Amino acid sequence: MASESDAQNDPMQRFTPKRLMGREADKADGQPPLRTSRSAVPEKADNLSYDLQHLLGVDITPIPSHDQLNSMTRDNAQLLVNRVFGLPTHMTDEGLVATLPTRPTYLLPRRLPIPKQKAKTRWKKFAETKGIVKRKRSRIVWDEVKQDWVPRWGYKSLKANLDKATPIVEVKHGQDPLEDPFQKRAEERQLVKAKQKLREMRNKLEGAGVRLPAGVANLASDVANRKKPKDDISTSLKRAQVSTASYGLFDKTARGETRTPPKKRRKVTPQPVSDEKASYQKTLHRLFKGGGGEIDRGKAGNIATFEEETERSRRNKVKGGKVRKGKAVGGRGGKGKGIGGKGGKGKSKR
Amino acid sequence: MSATKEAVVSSLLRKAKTRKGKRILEAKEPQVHEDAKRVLLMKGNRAGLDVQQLLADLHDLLKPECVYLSRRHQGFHPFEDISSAEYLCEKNDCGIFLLGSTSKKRPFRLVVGRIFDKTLLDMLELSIQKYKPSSHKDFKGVEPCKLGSKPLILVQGPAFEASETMGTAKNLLTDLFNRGRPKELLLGGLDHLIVLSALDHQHSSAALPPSLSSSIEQAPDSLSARLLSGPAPSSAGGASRSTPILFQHFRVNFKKSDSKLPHVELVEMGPSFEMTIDRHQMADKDRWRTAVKVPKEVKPKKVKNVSTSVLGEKRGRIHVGVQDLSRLHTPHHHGDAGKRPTKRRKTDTAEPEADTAT
Repeated sequence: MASESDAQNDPMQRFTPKRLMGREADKADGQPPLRTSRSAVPEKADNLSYDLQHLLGVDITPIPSHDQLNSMTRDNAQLLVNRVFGLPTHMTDEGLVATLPTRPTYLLPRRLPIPKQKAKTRWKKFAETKGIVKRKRSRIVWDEVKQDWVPRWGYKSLKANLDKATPIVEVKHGQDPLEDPFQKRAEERQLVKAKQKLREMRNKLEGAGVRLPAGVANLASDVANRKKPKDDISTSLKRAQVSTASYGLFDKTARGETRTPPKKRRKVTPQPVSDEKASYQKTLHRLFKGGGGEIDRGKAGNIATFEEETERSRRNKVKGGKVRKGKAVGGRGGKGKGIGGKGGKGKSKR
Repeated sequence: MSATKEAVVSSLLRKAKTRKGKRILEAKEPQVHEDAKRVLLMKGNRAGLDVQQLLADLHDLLKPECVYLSRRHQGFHPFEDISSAEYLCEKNDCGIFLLGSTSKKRPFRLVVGRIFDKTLLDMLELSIQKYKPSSHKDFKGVEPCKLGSKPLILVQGPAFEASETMGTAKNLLTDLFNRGRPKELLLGGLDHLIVLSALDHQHSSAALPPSLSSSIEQAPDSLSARLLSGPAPSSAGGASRSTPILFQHFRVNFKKSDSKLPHVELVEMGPSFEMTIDRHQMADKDRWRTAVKVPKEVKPKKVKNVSTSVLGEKRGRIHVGVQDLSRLHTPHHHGDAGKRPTKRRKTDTAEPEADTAT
């Protein structure tokens, strides 16, 4: 490149274009340029493919010969630089800064797989089916004792203040008077914490697709906490009876041993609110309108008349004596929901 | 399998005890935007002076995102057992490893391997010839590039597209030398260029100019080199006649030009060497597909209702809603009060969609 200016200064060399190569020769052919300026446009056609995120240029044209490799490399480098300088830029204190494209066109493998979406916890799954939305609770609450706003949890919180404000706890009827109620409460709290920790762990493992083993009898702790020893032994026995691969089917029975057939596990699936409401309504409809086939109205009527008649005969037998009131058939006792009443929360009426 | 399950469980239940520890663990988890892979440089059981020199040169080139383990690694043969390489990469938080070694059968070898999800993805064994270190007299007086500056990369030659092995070499070497994943780039900071040229057999080694063929290790031409280095390497992949890849490292100087763009001048700053693929292990296709998946967050969002016309004008289409014609103010005609406006007028004004140029 340094020879270019020399060539233009020397009149002998200016007219010997054979000594110059490519672009310089073209310039020397015509009128000599006023100043020595280099071009940013190479001779070579731009047939490269680029990935400007990686500042990569790929040229798949054949390399002509080893002598021309260096000039080809320079031209390709010029093309690549032109592309990089053609990116959107902005000025900073350090200089001109180009914004690189974010999406690669030439794919390089990642080091780690794409991050997975966090697995939902059991509660979140349930809340979703029920349409429960998390509401923001204020961080501070009004404390009636202190007559001031205090944090909901933590240091100097409402709960902590309440504990301090109750130095005496009454022993209710049937409670052990020697038991320390404060200690008992602290222990209960510890238990709640431990349970929550277990739940968190379970969610984490279940999210990763690890199945936890089913619960087993912890006899040591059962014995330590037992209140009704007999019940405890019977539950342990029941567990042991079904703790083989065949569910105790091929086990020998001891003398006097009774076996209860294993309960069929009812599958409880969380129902969406709409389904729940619909099923309740269906049942109610069946009861009041008699649309369903399950209740035989005729039979029900027979039962009612039979009861009425037995009642009357009893009344006839005990003359003048006070007769206890029989159960009113068909009446509704206790609380009940009418049709079309408020059936659960959730979906609004259309 | 139970051991791995236990490992999974223990890693899941592992919890950081400090804030800092938590941050460190979080950084080790999969990320949407990944940085360039860190490189682990290692010496094999035996490593000659040339191998060590090459590793030192590459170390300089790849700094600061690399780890150089100066200890010799006894009995380290990645093509026979990859576990130690995987372990060291995991331990040093690296995604690529480079192992230089010397043996009687394979005199000057460099093994380049990539890790995906803690296990090997693909691996190439490169036989190095015509190595000129950056301290060579040809490269004297060239100003070195700045530490950690992102290189421009050029890949030249049709041979890279010719075979799967060469395609892997292109991808692997691009991955190795492509440093950093910046969002923005200081244009004045561009100062070096890495060129990988696949030389066809007709003008490889034998036809090299004298300046390039003078090397530390006076390697014979490629054919006799293959004869000397034992039988045709077909053990792992069966690379029959591998195309030599020439590695060159240039300093880029920008000069003023007649336009806004700079004129590029290249000065070779070393190192330079030729490599041929010896043994290789290609990536499993399914794993490759998962490895090159682009996260949803990186993909550009589809812009609706905006188009560019032939003249380069940006055109947006907006929905203006349905016009309420019942409240339309029309000229009062006392005579026919209470009558609805004529049908003709209605069609004139009803235009729910309108084009607006922005």
